[in-house]
Amino acid sequence: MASLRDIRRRIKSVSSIKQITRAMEMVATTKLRRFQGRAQASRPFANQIEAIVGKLAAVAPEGSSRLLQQGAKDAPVGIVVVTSDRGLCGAYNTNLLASLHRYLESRGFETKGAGPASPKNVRLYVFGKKGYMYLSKRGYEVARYFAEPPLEKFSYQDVRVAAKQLVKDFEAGAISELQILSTRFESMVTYKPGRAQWLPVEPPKAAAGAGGEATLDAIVEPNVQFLLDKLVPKYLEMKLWNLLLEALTSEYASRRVSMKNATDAAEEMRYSLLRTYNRARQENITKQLLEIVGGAEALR
Amino acid sequence: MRLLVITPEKVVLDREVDSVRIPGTEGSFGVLSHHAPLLAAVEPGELTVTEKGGNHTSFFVADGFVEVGKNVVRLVVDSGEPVTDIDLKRAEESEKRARERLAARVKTDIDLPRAEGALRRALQRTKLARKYRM
Repeated sequence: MASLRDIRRRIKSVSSIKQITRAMEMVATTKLRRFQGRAQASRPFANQIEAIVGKLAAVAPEGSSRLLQQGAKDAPVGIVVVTSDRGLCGAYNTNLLASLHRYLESRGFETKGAGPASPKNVRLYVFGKKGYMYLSKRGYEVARYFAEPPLEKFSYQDVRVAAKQLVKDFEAGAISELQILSTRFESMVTYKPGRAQWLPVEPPKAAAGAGGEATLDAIVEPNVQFLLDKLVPKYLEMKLWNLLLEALTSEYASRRVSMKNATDAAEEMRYSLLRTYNRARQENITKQLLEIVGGAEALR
Repeated sequence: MRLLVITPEKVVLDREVDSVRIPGTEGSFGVLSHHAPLLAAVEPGELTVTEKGGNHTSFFVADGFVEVGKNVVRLVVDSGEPVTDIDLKRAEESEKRARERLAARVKTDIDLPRAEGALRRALQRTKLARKYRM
């Protein structure tokens, strides 16, 4: 049996772990709220841009935007992987990276359990340090790792720069399409890895009008082509921004849950240690009492 | 009619107005109540709002679009703020930065449209800030 002092030491360390995880849980909760707020704030913008893209794409002549069409045929498939910069967030990264492997298998770029491979027909882009470390450790070639700024400090401006680089690669023929694998936020307790096609753009369905006619009964200034050229990149930025916000929200939701579990586990452990401690203490006292009584008896 | 100014960060403005002047790519134009449906591109500049009582307020808006329909004017822009909120110092700094980058373009392969856009925004911001602060 561990000595009283050892147990006391363990109780102390478990208690301080509990304090830390509880603090981390609270930090995650506030951050979660903040990102949720931002995601909510960007919704009107997203809806509006989407509505206009839908309307314009419906009337635009075929082939008016290269971003709406499949890119260079033989070029690799671009995949953006969105993970977190920091750990301690449960299965958040594991789930996402598992979904990456599943996706690669489903497209026939990788066979299950084939070990580290760097498929020639895939170009990987990574957000988040964890994903980058995972992939580079396994010998995958990462075409671009968006390291700066740290994910949680990303502003719309930064997303714009990233989006521009991705579009550039597509236009230059380095990739034939671009899929984004990121965690989608469904509710505070459900968030799953998901995939969204970013390029070529699949125009959202125009809000079904009265007759669903494909005409635009509005004055367009200066012209459809000009607007489309300006709008589609904006649409892409917005989409990337939303996916990142959703991923970050999920990350903090996941971190909050795992920190809560850790806090609960620490409490449970502290409790059982305390019981062991008290029992040992009691035993000690009893033993000492017996000794005293025995000693007194012997003296009589 | 209702005017909405929407940016990725938030809805900057949502109120009933009398008329509005919008900086379109083809020049500034006015929109009154019950304007015909319109879809136009917006460039960085001044957005003037005339309220019901005849009061004018000015806003800075960046690149974006405007959609007019059903007596609702929706501006979707990258950024926007009341002229009184413009950070003149910051705008001046970014103007300087943009000029430097444009001047150095021969040596480095910078993103030309981006620098030009930044310069345009900075110029409009400083212009508006000066116009309304002095």
